Amino acid sequence: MKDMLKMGLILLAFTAVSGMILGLTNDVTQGIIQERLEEENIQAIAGLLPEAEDFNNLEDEAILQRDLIVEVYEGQKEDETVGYTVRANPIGYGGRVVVITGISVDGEILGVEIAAQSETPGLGDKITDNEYLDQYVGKSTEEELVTTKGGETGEKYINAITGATVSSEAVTDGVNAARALYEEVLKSR
Amino acid sequence: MSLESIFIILISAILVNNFILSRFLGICPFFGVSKQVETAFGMGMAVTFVMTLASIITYVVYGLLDHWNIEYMQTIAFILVIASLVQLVEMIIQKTSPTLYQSLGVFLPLITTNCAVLGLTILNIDYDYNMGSSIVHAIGAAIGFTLAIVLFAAIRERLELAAVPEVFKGFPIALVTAGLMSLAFLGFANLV
Amino acid sequence: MKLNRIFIKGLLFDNPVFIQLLGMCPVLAVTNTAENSLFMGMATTAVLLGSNIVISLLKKFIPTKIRIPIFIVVIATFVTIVGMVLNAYFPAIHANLGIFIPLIVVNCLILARAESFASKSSTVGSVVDGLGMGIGFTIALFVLGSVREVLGYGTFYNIALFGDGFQPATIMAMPPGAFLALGLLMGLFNKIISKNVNEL
Repeated sequence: MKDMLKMGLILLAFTAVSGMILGLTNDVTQGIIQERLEEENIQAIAGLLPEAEDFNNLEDEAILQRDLIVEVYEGQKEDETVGYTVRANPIGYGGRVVVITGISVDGEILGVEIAAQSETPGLGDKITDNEYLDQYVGKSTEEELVTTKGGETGEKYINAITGATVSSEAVTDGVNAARALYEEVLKSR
Repeated sequence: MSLESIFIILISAILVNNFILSRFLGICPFFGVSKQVETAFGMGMAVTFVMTLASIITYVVYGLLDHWNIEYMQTIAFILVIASLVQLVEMIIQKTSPTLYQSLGVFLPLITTNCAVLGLTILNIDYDYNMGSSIVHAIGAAIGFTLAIVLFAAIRERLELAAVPEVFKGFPIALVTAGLMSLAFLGFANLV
Repeated sequence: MKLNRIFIKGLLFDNPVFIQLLGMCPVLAVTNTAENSLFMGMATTAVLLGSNIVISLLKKFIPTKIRIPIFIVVIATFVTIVGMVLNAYFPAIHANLGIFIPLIVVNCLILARAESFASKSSTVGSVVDGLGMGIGFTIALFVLGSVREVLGYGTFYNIALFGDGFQPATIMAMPPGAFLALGLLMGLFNKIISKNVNEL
């Protein structure tokens, strides 16, 4: 019994020391990581809504409780709203895909940006190519977008990347989440 | 949780994102204990047991870590949970069912360093699965693991009798075989 | 044992991948490009080196009965540090390696070196052992990663090797390619070794 207690204490001591070391490392790296993420985020949302001069983070319960939605910014120019950027995190082939969608105030998709992904290199990671993402630009938010493998053309269709349907669908899911959010909540603000 | 989402998680874990053949989790036991169908099945059962329990416990543990804002302790906490769980399961089985211990016992210590178990618990967190989805995911992953390892064992039993070039005997031919299996499983890629 | 013998053993004769078949999960999973392979190898080497040093230094304070949990805690600590550093300074690599960074914890190679070498040897010996094994592991990963990248993407370390007309065999960059490439490389490795043995 005494032996077990001693061993438990030794293990606890090792874990405590490791926790302390990790806490210190975390303090150092966390700042750098946060800073980088914020910088990337600002660049991404500014790229999607080039017109806007100021961005407000909308921390509304009704928005953040929705499926897949992570963060929403309202872009303003001279106190007038010009559009929104919606950050969503649908599940792809290799984990979450972070999709930022820019939507103009009159319901047009202005652009889509992939902020983070871990899809298969050479296949799924083609979702970051402009060639693919440009398909979303100019679509209206009124109709749900559909990923197609058959090459159908039309307002609501997005052509999937060959061999990477799951990844393509993930992006469409993210854009659809943003689109629905705009239609159901943001539009009537 | 809807029946549909359960089905999707299961199919995706068993076939599309098969833990061994497409995610490369659990490669060591895949090659290590796949010489006979029977032992392969035993390993599969042991892994199923540990995976399901581990997902439940790590789900609760992560809740605590998140609450105290020390998510960076995740790896340490999870691996310790899995190691103690394996030890516990070993003791319980040994006491309650000697026959089961006879068949599973040898595999249990190996499961601690089976990356499929730790990988599963980390994926559950990455995917933001709730308790229910985590359990379904664990069961799907375990079935996928068992399926792959049993199929592979069946092939290897026959491979023993085949005329294989000297330099490919043993591990190299096993790898090539696994490659062909993985290629076959790639056919499921567009299923969900 | 002489230090250079320890080093060469890890690098060649006991090569963790080609001879001992240890740590196969990352070997197969992240070797789709040379760059990923190199970083995975270096991350593993860093963890191996760190855990070997700490365990050989503290071996007197580690009770035999609970040595495995303690080894795991030490290894997991280094793994987490490596993960944080990669995330802070090499975010692209961190994203590519993904879940396989925390999974370095269960790389059997590291636990095996802690158990069979570092817990019984001097710190200097453990450093050399960690370096030898780690570099041996890294080289094996890098070779496999280079082969798969050249065949699967037609590039080497992100530099295009062939003209525009080249159609890469994408399958080599995908999961089946990992198994196939490693199987064929091991056959080749065996061939070279058996030839050398015959000539002796």
